[in-house]
Amino acid sequence: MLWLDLCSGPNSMLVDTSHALPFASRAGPIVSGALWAAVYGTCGLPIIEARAHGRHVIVPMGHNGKFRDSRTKLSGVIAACSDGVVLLEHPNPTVSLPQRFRNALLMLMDFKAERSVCAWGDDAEIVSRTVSIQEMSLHAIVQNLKRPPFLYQDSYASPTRIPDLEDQPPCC
Amino acid sequence: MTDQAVNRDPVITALLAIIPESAISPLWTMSDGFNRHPLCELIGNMANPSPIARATIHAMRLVNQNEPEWMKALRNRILSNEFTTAAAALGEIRAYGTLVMAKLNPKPISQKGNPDFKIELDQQTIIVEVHTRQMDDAERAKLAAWANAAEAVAPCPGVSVYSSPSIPPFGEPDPAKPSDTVIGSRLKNISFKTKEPMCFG
Repeated sequence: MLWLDLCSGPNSMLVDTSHALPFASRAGPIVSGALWAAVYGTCGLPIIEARAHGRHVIVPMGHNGKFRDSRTKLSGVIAACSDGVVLLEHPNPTVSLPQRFRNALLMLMDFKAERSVCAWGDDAEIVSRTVSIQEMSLHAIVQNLKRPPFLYQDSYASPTRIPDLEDQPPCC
Repeated sequence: MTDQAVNRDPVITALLAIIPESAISPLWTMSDGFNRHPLCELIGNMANPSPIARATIHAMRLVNQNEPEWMKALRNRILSNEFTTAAAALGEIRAYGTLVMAKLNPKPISQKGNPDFKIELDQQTIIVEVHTRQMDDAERAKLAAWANAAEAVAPCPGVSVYSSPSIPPFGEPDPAKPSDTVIGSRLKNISFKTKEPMCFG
């Protein structure tokens, strides 16, 4: 188990538990969740970042997330952020966490069960199915963000792209 | 300091019972160019500590009560001149406090190089390694350079000139790398300073 403390220095303000979701809008446009992508992301997964004036930067992730590495022995990552604690479990762990461990976290006042990805119950594949659904939703959102009226950049330095006419939905 | 002593929150009083004020006093003058010592950064406002400060000090009381020997070693690390060492010790204390509050009965593993806690649960042993993510040295230096830069001179009377730094705490995106953004570098750098093989290219 890796315990990630993000309560120190500027991290306490910049990474909250909403980063355990694949995407979230934090009082602004929708952006990717850094914690989710860091563990479940795959090389090439679109990462969304908001820029000024309603623009987005959408770039492919440059590496695999921690749980995509077959050599990892981690069963899960607990992230302690300024607004609470989340548990992200490995979809196919070498050793599964005991159910009592998850239940113990529910005793914490600031445990964000709704933002965690855990194997509640007896279904061993619930984590991988949840991650797969989250990933599908992320890809669908990215497709929408690449259509008008949104403007996006496909790298940090490139100019804003105005979607081509063929990107627009057919006119009825 | 006198005013602070008068308005001190009870949580700060609890901290000073574990770490004497005489040991903390020299830390107030320390700085890496911009940030104060992690302990001073944490307790900053002695009259009204932040929720993170309250949680950390509560956890420190639990460590002091349950693991006094470990607390002795932690005290030295918290008071260390190395800011990263002090921040890491505070992170371990917070993790311990949370695990105790979840009634998981964590046992600190003190040997150097080992993971931080062991939890025995249902004939299974769970090993917990704590990593406290911090700003990297390059960003720290950039922030210090901004803080120490000479004030800009106003071009004419009645005009004020201000500058503000833009510091992504997980590293500046590299425009030459197509996959780099502020979030991209954040997720690349988020923790994973474990002994496990790194998967980041």
